[in-house]
Amino acid sequence: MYVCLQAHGKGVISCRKGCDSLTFPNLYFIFAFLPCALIAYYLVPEKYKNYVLLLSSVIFYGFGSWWQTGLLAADTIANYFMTGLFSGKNAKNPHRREMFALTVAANVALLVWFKCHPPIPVGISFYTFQIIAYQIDVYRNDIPREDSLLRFGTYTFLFPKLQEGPITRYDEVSDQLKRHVCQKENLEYGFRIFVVGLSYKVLLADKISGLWKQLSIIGYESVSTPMAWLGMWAYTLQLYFDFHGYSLMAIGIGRMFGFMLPKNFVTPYGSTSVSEFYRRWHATLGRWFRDYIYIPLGGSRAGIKRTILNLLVVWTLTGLWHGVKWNFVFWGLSLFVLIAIEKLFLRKWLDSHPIVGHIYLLLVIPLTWMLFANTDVSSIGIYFSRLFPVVSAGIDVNLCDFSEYGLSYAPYLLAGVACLFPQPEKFLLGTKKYQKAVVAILSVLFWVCVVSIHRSASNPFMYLQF
Amino acid sequence: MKAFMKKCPLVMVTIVIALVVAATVVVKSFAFPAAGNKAQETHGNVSSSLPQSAVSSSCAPSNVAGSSKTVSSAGSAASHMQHKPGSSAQKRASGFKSSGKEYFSDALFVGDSLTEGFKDYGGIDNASYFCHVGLSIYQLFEHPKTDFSTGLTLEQTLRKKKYGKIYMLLGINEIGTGSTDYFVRHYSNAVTKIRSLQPDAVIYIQSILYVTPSKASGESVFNNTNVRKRNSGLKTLADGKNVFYLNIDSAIDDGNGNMHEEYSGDGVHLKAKYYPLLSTYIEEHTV
Repeated sequence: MYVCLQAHGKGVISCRKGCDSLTFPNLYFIFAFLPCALIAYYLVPEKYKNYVLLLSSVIFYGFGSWWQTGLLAADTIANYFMTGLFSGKNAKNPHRREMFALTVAANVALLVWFKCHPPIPVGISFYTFQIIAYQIDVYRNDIPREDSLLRFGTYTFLFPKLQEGPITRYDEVSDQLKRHVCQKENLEYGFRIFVVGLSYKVLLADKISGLWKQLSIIGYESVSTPMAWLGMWAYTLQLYFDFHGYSLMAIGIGRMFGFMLPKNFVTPYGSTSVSEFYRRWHATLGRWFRDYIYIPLGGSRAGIKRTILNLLVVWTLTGLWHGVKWNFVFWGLSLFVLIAIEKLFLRKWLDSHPIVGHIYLLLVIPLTWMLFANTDVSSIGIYFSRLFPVVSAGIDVNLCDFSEYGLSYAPYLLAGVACLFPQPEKFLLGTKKYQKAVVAILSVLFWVCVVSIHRSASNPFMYLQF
Repeated sequence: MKAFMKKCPLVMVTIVIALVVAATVVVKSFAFPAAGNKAQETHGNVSSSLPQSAVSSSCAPSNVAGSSKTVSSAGSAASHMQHKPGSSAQKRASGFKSSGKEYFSDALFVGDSLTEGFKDYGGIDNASYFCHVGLSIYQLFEHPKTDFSTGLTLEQTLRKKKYGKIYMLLGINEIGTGSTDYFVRHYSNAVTKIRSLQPDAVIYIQSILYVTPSKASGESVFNNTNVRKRNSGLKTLADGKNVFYLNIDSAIDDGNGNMHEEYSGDGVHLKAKYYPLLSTYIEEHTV
């Protein structure tokens, strides 16, 4: 849920209005919760490790709201038993199919209900999708039903992936829930991944977000056209480093506990088509829709008309998954149109003209983000009229805004652009050479992040903002 | 231990640094346990020792003061005529009158990001500006900040050139710092200092701008009760001779003592298209 994800931008700061939940870029999490959980996890004997994981996950979620935690716990227990009704062991049950349909429908209904009746429990979209995936896999006999309620509960609550994914399949985690891996290598490597993710989030996403906020402070109608384009690309960077950073932190923390969570972002902005982009952006969500909606509907094997229809279903649902609001529907539909056009003819041509493909992607995806970012539909129109100032010249536009803000945000924007390339991440996480330098850089990044979080979290009025 | 260091160098380094930092914090808080409280006390004491030097009971310029000052240039009369007769009559009653944009050619606007926005979107291009995002009254002279475009501190700016009018718009950043009296005393000191550097300038103290209702709701700091408290303190700094208080809030008031909800994107800053409300108000309230 990127909506919840955008809230993270303010997450640390908004704590002054009452902490809604514990998040990774939070000093209490980094210096108290995580070390305690790790020490307990590594010290207790094998058979108690799941208890430690479950307990720490419940505490982690409980920081947000206890009624939501209770609700999720009840939901998990209900799903545990309901899955039993249609598992492989019950293959002869004549109502197996109906039981399965009913269970999945109940989960979907709960999700929809919460989507329409805020406050939405944190992470419920991710949580529900993982449970549905598990149930479909069990129903198809791809995996056996989990017999242990402890293991099942630990899986659904597992705190590294609880709030914002990655959306796992049960078989990606189940082995490690049975035989826990406690290796120093994982601890170190996981922490390194965590530091990279934390830096993306704190040093890039949170800083760049100031530029995007500036646009609504000025008011869209008064933003100059260059500023509108700059703001759009700034948001493009911000969203990536926010979500990718968060996913890396999740993967890193998971790794420290011995779990191999799937990758969520594979340098998506390096794609040459929208279809490719969405295999590399929030990949675990795309994979979910592919495996559990698109392919069961026939995928692209039942003729072109059916393929287009399937794409329409998938992308409308993807839009709605992000929030039951018109702008998300429009966003999903815009992607459907682009991907359908690519499927019909454009993709072949783009593949043979990669440079055009890159330019096309870096124009089109940011434009679709503008549908995504503005939950108020009327402001979308104003924003596009500033991007393409053919209809109106705007109100009270100051042409200097571009140079003024562009200049002050240039260091972050340039660093962000550099980190879009795979090399920096590869250097920090993927090489065995220059280990001393890597450790030194990551250590510096970590402490700079800590200072930065501390500055924005401590007394909001001591830190001058306006 | 050595094996751990070898396999987990980053984790080890981080733990060691964290322990050192933690130890430093502990030692510091034991060695100087009252450091935080002392600062609090100072804030408290300040309230009783408000200097009365620049404080005067009159807040709006009297008719006499208004008419005796002849600041306006030739054009101001013309623009004065354009204003609605009713409103200008009111202005005269309060001692203010309208001026044209020429009035601002020797004016300096001092402030935080609100002044920055005013500079970009207020439409007064012939004036000079000194702004710094996040500027507070304590950072004018005591811990001076520099203007982004000139690179000068306020003191340097004021020494460099003579100004006819100085407009100050400060107070929202520090609204959570110190007591109202502490704030007003520092504001008063700043006014005195500006006066000493620019003896002939008219100083306008602009009221702290309201925040929107949605920003203020559930806010213990950034709310309009606090803004009004401090504004009534600022009012007392005007002397009706050459220090004037401008209630610019009346230009953006929604009728309930808040900034109009739709005037702001973040609840604090005016949207670009609403800055002219402030410039119009300021134009209509000159001496």
